[in-house]
Amino acid sequence: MSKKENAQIYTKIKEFIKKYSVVAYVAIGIPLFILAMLLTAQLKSISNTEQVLQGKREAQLTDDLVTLQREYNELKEKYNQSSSIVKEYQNNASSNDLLIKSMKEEIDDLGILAGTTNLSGEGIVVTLSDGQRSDALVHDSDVLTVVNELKAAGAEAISVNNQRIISTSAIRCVGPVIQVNYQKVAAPFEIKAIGNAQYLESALTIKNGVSDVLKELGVGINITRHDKVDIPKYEGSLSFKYGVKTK
Amino acid sequence: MPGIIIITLFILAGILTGMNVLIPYSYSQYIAVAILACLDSVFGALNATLTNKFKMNVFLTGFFGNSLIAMFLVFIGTKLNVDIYLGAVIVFTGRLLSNFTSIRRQFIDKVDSNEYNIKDEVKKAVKIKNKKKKVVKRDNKVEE
Repeated sequence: MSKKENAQIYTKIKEFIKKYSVVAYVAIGIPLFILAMLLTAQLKSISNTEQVLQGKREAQLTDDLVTLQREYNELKEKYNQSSSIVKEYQNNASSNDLLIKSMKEEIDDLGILAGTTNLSGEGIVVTLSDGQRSDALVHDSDVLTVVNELKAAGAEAISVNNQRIISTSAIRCVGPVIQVNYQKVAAPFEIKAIGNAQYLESALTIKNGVSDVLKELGVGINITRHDKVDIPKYEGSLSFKYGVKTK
Repeated sequence: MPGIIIITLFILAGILTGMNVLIPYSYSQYIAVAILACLDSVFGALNATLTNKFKMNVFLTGFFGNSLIAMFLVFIGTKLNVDIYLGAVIVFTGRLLSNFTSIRRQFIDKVDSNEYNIKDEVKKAVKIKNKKKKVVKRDNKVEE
């Protein structure tokens, strides 16, 4: 009975499908279903995102994201390295205190040399400012000569606009400003130097020296001695990629 | 009738599912071009049905194939940093508009022909009335 009934229903459905060509309409309906779904989803998500992004372009945002991610990865790597070093030191600290003490002293000494510690002491402050004439601008070469002269006079630490000059520091012209340690600095330039203040000053103010030459060019130069000059430490990273130690 | 009901059901289901789907912003360009391709083939199908040239396999392959190729063009464009998808957009919108024009013309032709039919019928009716009047007049004369 049930089989017969089933068969009857089946044939009825078949007839219905044939009569009204249901298959064809379903075949048309499926694409329309997809189209309607895509349209509404698109409209909805576009109206959502426009509020959030306020017209910012996608490319710009992806650029920002990529740079931020890269920075994040670099910083994370640095953090991991540093933390592993700290762990090593902590492990060693308990075993041999004396060695650590000597090593610490050495590190401090080397830090002073490398420029990774704040320093203060007797020294001079040289201020270079643009002159009255329109062509009397302070150039990167002027700053470089002053720094070089101070080094020659035995300056122990030098900074330009609070950018510590270390062994890898470069001073060069980038458009209207000067780059020191890849940081932009602009006039007036405040060059601090720690050393024998008298020697340093006389090295600059010697006849036909740097001071005279700059004054002739119209650049304003002002030198003051101080009992205590504070020089900040180098803020960048000190890592050697290509150099390898050899015996 | 059942055909129209089936199609409207499918469209309603599509709208309902679309409300609950959120497309990531980076894919919106792909979807936009795909939508254009789909709209183009739907309008093409409408045009074809009106001219009795509709073929199911042509419609289905066009619907899916066009949208896939359009999305592929967007993909290549992003890889090459050239907005190739603009080509697809221009072609699809152009065809969409031309399809719509032909659909519109056919509708207008139909309406026009219907109007002519109505006018003819009105003329016929007027003629018949006149004839009747004449008959009546003759009758009156006869009566006189």
